[in-house]
Amino acid sequence: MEVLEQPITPTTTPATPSLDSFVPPHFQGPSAWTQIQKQAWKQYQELPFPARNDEHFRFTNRAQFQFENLSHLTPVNKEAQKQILLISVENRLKKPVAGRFVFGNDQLLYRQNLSAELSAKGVLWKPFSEAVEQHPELIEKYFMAKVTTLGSEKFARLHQAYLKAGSFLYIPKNVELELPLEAFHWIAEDKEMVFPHTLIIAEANTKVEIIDFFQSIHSEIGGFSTSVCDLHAGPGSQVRYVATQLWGRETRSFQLQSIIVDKDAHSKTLNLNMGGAYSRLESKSQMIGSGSKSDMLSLTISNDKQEFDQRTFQEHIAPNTNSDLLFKNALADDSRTIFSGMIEVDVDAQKTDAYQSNRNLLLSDTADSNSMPGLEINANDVRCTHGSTTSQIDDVEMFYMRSRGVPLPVARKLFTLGFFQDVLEKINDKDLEVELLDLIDQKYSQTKSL
Amino acid sequence: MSLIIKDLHASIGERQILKGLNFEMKPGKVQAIMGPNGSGKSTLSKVIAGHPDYTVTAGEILLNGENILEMEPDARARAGIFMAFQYPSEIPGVTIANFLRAAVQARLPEGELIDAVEFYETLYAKMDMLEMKREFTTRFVNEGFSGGEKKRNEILQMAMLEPKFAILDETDSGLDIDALRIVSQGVNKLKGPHMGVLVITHYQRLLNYIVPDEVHVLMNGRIVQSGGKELALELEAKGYDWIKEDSLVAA
Ligand SMILES: Nc1ncnc2c1ncn2[C@@H]1O[C@H](COP(=O)(O)OP(=O)(O)O)[C@@H](O)[C@H]1O
Ligand SMILES: [Mg+2]
Repeated sequence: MEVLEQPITPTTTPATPSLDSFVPPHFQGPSAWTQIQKQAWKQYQELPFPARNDEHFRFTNRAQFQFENLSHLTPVNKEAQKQILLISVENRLKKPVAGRFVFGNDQLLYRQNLSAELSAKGVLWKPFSEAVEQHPELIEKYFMAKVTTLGSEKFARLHQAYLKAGSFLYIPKNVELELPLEAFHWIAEDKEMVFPHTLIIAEANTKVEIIDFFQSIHSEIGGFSTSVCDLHAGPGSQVRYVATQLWGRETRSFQLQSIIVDKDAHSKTLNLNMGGAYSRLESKSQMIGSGSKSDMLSLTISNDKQEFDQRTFQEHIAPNTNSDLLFKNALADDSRTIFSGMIEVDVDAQKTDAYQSNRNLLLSDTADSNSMPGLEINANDVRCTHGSTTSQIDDVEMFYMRSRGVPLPVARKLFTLGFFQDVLEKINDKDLEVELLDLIDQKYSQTKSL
Repeated sequence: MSLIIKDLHASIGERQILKGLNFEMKPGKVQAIMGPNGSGKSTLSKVIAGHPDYTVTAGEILLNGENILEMEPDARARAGIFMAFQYPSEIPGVTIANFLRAAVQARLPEGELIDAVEFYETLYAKMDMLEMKREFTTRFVNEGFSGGEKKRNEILQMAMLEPKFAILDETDSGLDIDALRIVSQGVNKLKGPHMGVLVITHYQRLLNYIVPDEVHVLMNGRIVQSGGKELALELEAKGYDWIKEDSLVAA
């Protein structure tokens, strides 16, 4: 383990009145890589901003798109570094991990490398900027190779153009990791933008778990994040990816996930969404090999005027494939959620078994959940179920809890956790559950109204 | 320590149910309120607990001189009032242990955290008393419980929360003899100088197990008759009709 010196010379971009007038990113690294980035920057500039009538942005409150006076790669001051390392490293010494990165303002602050044993087996766990130098062939083959977005094409290119920080994981075939890998991405400054990337390449018959933590140093601060998780689950592999999001309350974020599941592989993803003013999640699974399975889970706790905008896609390309999506949102105050999901079964994908469910719990009369489940089936021998429910908190149950002395906010929290219970059961991992509950506690302690 | 109900008028919707009820709960005593179905017994217990569906149109309920009608239901509970529900709610996804932890935590001074080891020791001891299996702690509150299990769970909560005044609303309904015995034994062990118990029932049966110091009759929204434990036997033998006449005469 080593704590890094302030690693990169910062380039701060001056004030930008809107997203379309970002100052160009600072290109750095091998020429093949900067080529990709320059190309992406060009595409970003050429692509239009999502149109007002764009179906992918139906119900989105476009007033949320405020990206002004943003800076990038602002150095993390000593005090902030101390706080970040305390939370991400020192307080977690009891939790054994295979490797850990901590980024602040897109700069690597800490790394725990793999054990010699795992490295000897050929496992690669690198900060993204190193992977670009050392493994260009893998980058070329896998980096955003199949990332098809659900509306945020422009933001995907923006991410590509600015990308500096992230995790690169490669697991050669037949290797199983006992311990999880972790990456922390901190916004350590108000109005800072970050572009976290997670590239997971799991070859045949591998097993791995990786967790991303997205957090801000103060609960109130603003900023902008466009992150991408690019997950390749090779034949027979088992990959679990967890992303927890607790950005500061004025932060806007686009979180794009592409999950490619090959023959007999099983991918399990869980998103815990709690922070930010506007947080958009686009998650797409593609079942490309027979016998593949993708579980897509998500938990959202929204309050105040927060808006969570979730777009999902389950694409069944190969036959005998399975996908199981469960997105649960607990909404308080004047918060909003949007869920738009699509199951698409291709002509050849016979014997598909697909499930999609969005469940919303309204904790106030003024919270607003929008749900648009969708199906498109082009094969004839399939089983697909989808649906959404929205329920109000039950007054009788609420009175029962309060009659035992439990104050209203605590009762609401217990209800919310009770509502999340089936997702936690699907995760079926006590240690992870404790970790998630801890983060949930953080959100509750930040907000009085909950 | 006192709980005094004065001239209580309460309604649900347009309907007046309690019509000038006077009653005093006494610490260290077991009191019973009996009355036919629909006479307002559950209404009385829910109004004391602070159920939002009921409107109090007149009167007051004084806990140690303070009018609790001004207080939120959770504040009343923390002040020492407990009601065992006639129909306890199911709370999906919330385990008994987590629920009770939250309730116990709510009674600690701000900033003080519950001692988990001590909590479980106490919880297990009280569960043993009520002959409840340990695995109940990880079950969701009342979900899939039998009638007897629900009522035992109510008494378990009472045991954990140690109220000053406990109101048991038809705790015997839906219980077989064994469950009735266990629940009653629990109540008998818990009662004492620090706690007043109000047993609400329309059957005399429960009062063979939890023997009351006083018996009161609630009819048509008012206490119309009071006596010792023999009054319960009299009601069992003669029904409520004779009281109706008596009270009509009195009125
Ligand atoms: N939600 C309600 N709306 C209208 N009337 C009600 C409601 N709940 C109870 N009541 C009526 O109030 C009266 C008293 O009910 P309750 O207090 O439950 O009686 P008890 O517990 O003595 O059987 C009954 O006549 C009942 O029908
Ligand atoms: Mg009743």
